[in-house]
Amino acid sequence: MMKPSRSGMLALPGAALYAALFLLPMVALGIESLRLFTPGRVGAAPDAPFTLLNYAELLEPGFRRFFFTTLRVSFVTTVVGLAIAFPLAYRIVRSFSSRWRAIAIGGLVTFIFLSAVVKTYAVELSLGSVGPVAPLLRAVGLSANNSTYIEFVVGAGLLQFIIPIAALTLIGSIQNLDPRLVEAAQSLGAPTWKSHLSTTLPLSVQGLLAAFLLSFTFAISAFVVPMILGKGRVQFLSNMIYNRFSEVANYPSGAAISLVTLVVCFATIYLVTRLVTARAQARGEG
Amino acid sequence: MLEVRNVTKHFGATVAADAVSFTVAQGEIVSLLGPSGCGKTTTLRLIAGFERPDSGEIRIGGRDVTGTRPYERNVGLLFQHYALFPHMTVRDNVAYGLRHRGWPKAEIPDRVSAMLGLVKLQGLDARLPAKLSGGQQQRVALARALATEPAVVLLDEPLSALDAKLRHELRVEIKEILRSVGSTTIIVTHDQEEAMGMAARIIVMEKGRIRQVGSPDDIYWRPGNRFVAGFVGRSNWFVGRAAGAGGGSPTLSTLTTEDGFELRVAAPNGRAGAIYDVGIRPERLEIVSPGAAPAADETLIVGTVLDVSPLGAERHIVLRLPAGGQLTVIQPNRAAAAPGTGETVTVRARAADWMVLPREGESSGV
Repeated sequence: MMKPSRSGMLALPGAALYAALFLLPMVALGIESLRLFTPGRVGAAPDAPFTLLNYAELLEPGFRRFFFTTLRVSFVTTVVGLAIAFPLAYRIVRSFSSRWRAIAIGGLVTFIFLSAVVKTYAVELSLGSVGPVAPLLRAVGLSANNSTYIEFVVGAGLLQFIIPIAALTLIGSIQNLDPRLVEAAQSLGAPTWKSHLSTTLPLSVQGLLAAFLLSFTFAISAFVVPMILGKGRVQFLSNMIYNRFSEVANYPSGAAISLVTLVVCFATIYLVTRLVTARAQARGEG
Repeated sequence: MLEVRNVTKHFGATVAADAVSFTVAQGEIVSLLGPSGCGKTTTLRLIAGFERPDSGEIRIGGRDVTGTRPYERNVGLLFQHYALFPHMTVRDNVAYGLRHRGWPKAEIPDRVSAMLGLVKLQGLDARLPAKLSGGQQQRVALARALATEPAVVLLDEPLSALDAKLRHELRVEIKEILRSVGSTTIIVTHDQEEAMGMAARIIVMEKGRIRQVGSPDDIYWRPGNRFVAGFVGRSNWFVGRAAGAGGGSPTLSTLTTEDGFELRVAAPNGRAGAIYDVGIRPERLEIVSPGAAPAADETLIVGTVLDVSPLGAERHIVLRLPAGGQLTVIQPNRAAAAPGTGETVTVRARAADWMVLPREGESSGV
């Protein structure tokens, strides 16, 4: 019989806690998602029969829309956020004095910890129907209640979180780059933008991947931002989950959406990581 | 080929380059030599286009490039730590400049092979830089810098990242390659051996200024000032007062040191009472048998042996002088027995070997 090693024993309390606080609730959620729901009840009856109906109904266009909106807005916002955060991080690392670098990094950290509700209402006040932007929109014949515009506002709200998260992640990876590489590329005839494209960018792939995954998973699971800025017209999966549990008390359906969201998150992380590492490897061997 | 005219560059309050002017002829190898912070790296970055001068002009091949971007100048750079693109193979590193400088696509593979042949790295073209030794990486960097036939090649401390033995080998090889290609080259370095071994002409800089320009022998044997004399090589220094045209010879004069030595030097016109820094290279001193009589152009110095260090090719002997000062003598480490510690020896110096420099306010013991 194998005796568990001492260090193995040390991991036990953590593992037990993890099982009790995360795995058990997830199993309960999984079981609930398979129960048949009777309208009017709060949650499924303890003896309700098992069914796949809660999953099947997610394929209906009305539900599918939530998935697509969430993924689309999250993806576009993440890409835009990285496009802003990357040059920002690069500037902070390369052009700032150590004093200003410390101030900038401190500012980004503070921004992350600033209350989500505060940041989100700040966006609503400036970009929403009462803000200074609304009259401009009306001038060009747009309504602040136009659903495309609302998606844009939700994206702007998400950027409040994504930019500092992504910038902080990227600062680390840019700091590890040799600044001489860009100069070498320039001395070999590549204009500045091409020098960055052929050195800085490919060498930051790991950092960009990390920043992308952090930002994207944050966006997919966003709750407060789409709830406040989406005004019911743009809703994310989290809002629908909340709606299922709290408004209709349809626990089985809420549980099914939660689990599908989790799977979508994992699938995205897996696919993007595979794609990027495969490309990096192909480059390395080529 | 390259003209630097009166170029000045400030960083905040410090002057990194102060009215620097020099020219480099087609195919010439020149070295910018000086301690860190002397402005040599700034000068290199100004020529490469990474910095813009506050005033002055830089011309390459007759064209004024002062305001142009690095990629608009045809300057090849060899960085101190190579700066090879780590995610590209050796082949792609060398081809990078060719692609961006618009070489015909069809010619690039041949040119890359030719360059790798030049630096003796055939067969390694598919490797990534991380899989190469330091010396090999340096060769790739050289091939990459030379591939596009740059008008001027700048080498930034090219050998400082290598170990001593490899440094020597590669120095000879790089020099040979640069000569065979006929590149107009500037080597920036703080290492006098690197400068003297590779360059035909050396520009010594201090605090942003050029202190002397000359051949390695000029710089070493005929330093223009105390700074150059102290920075390049070792020497023994004294402070001497001219006694006036002395010894009945028009070419010799006598300088009396603070310790009372009378040094016979080949001074120009020793105005009586003028103060000079007088120095001599340790390898120019010769230990002679005691009691030998000095010729008219010789000075004999007597001292006690304080330390003898056999350093392989040569032997360093430190003497204590009666007045308390020290004198270093360097001898070839041949069969002749080294003097023992505590022994009293006589050292001979010839007038022509003294470096005689008018006193410059500051003094530092070397």
